Amino acid sequence: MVRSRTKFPKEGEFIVGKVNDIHDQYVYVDLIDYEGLDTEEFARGMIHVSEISSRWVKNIRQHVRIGQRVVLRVVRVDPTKGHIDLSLRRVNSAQREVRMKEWKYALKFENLLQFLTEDTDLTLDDAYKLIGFPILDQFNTYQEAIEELKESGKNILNDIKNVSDITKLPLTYKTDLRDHYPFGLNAVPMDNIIRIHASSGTTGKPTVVSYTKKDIDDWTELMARTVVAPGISHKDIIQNAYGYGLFTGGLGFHYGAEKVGCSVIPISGGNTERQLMIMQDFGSTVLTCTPSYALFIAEYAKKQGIDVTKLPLKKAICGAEPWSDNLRKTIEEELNLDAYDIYGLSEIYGPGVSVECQEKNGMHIWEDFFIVEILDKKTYEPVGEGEEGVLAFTTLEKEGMPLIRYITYDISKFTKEKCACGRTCGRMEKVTGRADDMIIVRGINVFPSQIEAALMQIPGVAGYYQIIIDRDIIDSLLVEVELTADTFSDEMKVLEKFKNDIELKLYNILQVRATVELVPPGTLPRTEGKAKHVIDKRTKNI
Amino acid sequence: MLKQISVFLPNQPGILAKFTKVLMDEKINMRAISVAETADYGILRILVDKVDECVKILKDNNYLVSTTDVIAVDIPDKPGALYEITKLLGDNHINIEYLYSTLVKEEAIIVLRIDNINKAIEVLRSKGVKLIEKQQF
Repeated sequence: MVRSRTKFPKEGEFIVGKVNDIHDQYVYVDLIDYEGLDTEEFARGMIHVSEISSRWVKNIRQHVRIGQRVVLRVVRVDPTKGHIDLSLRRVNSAQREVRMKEWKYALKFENLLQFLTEDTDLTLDDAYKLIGFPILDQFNTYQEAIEELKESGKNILNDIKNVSDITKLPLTYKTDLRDHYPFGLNAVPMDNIIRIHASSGTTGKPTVVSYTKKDIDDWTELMARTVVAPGISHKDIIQNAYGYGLFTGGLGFHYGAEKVGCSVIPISGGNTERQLMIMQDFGSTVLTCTPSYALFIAEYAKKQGIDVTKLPLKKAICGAEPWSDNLRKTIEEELNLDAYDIYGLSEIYGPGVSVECQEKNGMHIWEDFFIVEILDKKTYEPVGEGEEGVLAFTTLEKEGMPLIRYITYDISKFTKEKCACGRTCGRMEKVTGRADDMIIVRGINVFPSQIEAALMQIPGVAGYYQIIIDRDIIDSLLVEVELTADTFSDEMKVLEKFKNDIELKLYNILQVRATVELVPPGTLPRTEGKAKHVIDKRTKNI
Repeated sequence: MLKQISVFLPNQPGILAKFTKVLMDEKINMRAISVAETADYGILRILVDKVDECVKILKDNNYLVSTTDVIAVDIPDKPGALYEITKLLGDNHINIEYLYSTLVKEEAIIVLRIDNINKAIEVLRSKGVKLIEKQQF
């Protein structure tokens, strides 16, 4: 059957029906393409003997037979009773041919839609609503749609001959992930997904990434290389202080380091006192965490009177937030080790997209897994080698959620220049900024739009707020919120509850603690158009 | 029952001076004042003679203002005087949100913010506690 948008055909329309029953004066026809009355399985129509042929009908059975598919003209429709009067004689051979051909195309099209539903949770009705009818709107008939797809589809394949032709394919944006939250971009059935991670989205909903068994194996391979590149081996004891959980940092390092054969301590982030105890007692040789947390551990140790420079620590792999070479120097001196930069994003597995080798001169991108592009910040056109732009990745091995030309909004440079370490994979420079308004606070991605969305959900919060990020070893996130006449109270406990409620809401959405400061109305800056909501004071200290 | 004016003020240098200047310029006299503070902000609570006028002036000057019913009791300036009042309220399950004091001549005035204000008034009156009724005391 071919789904129609309406329950009944329109008068004057040519339709395809199947002869169901033949009487002396009438022929009954099943119109399974139409829903008909709610009580019916599908619509049914009737051809009166006078509408069978323009010639004299001696025996109606000489003109039609049961089970035959016939093209008919709709004479009259009574949708309240479900009566449809049809005519066979008012269809000429040319009309019959055209309609039959179109119907066969429609059937073919439906088969394609049916095929789509097999690996998804969609029903055929959903597929028609989401894909079928919109395509029909574009092309008038299914025939045109199929012919066009055949044509242009082939052309797309003909156009892609080598890697540089990738620019002919469309880009994938973070908003595409949001629009298909949570599993809409999965390319395999859920049965084949063995892991789900998530990172911050631009609104209240996170960005979700699904992994197949192969994806986890591949990511483990990437992370194993990433662990080895800075000179870490199976002899090392790795204190993995990246967060375990939905965040990819913890588990990513864990699997990679285990594959290398390192002794992995899955301590996760936080609890610095315990980090230091384990570091001393277990003799950790490698620390993996955000750069600011590495520095925080060093400062904390100093206060506790622990001389970390005397510990067996040799190396640290630090990432998930931007850091400068100055900060690297400080970390290396304070902890008496070599610190290496690592890059990754959950949409592209997680950590392990690239890492510094012992040369500390750019991060090797594992190019057998990714096609790397650097695109102009505004036009998204490719820039020349060594020029600055936005990083985009095409995954070559991912199954769960493959991405084509995924825009990271991270600003960097890429070079294929030979590296002294001997690795042939090209290198990207330290990420120097963002092409969107994302900010990274304690290794967690935060979008101002998330904060705004959270604030708008709290009754009594006016639209005015300001985000101030600062760094005193570790990052602080301060959100100033204007109090209103409705929320002001003479009682401290009421105001403190209001403030705590906002902090809790923000934590739930951001997964990073923010301090809320209540300020009098009218005190936050109001600028023409879009207010400048974010003040990042860290730029000097990073 | 008296009307207390509460004002939201950021906890920063010079804010109180600016605020009191507004009252001074408008010749508004404060009879009692207290400030509750956090690191970021404070809630200033005052009793003034001309409530409506004061609220209007503060609003015109962009202050975040609210008014609250409070009671003020006149108690002898001697040890144990406050105990009598608080015990009386406590025994009657009346909660005091906050209180502050001021002195008028030889008398001690205690300003009380109470949730069930009518019950408190009833209880205090029945025990002969002297309540201040006029905004101008």
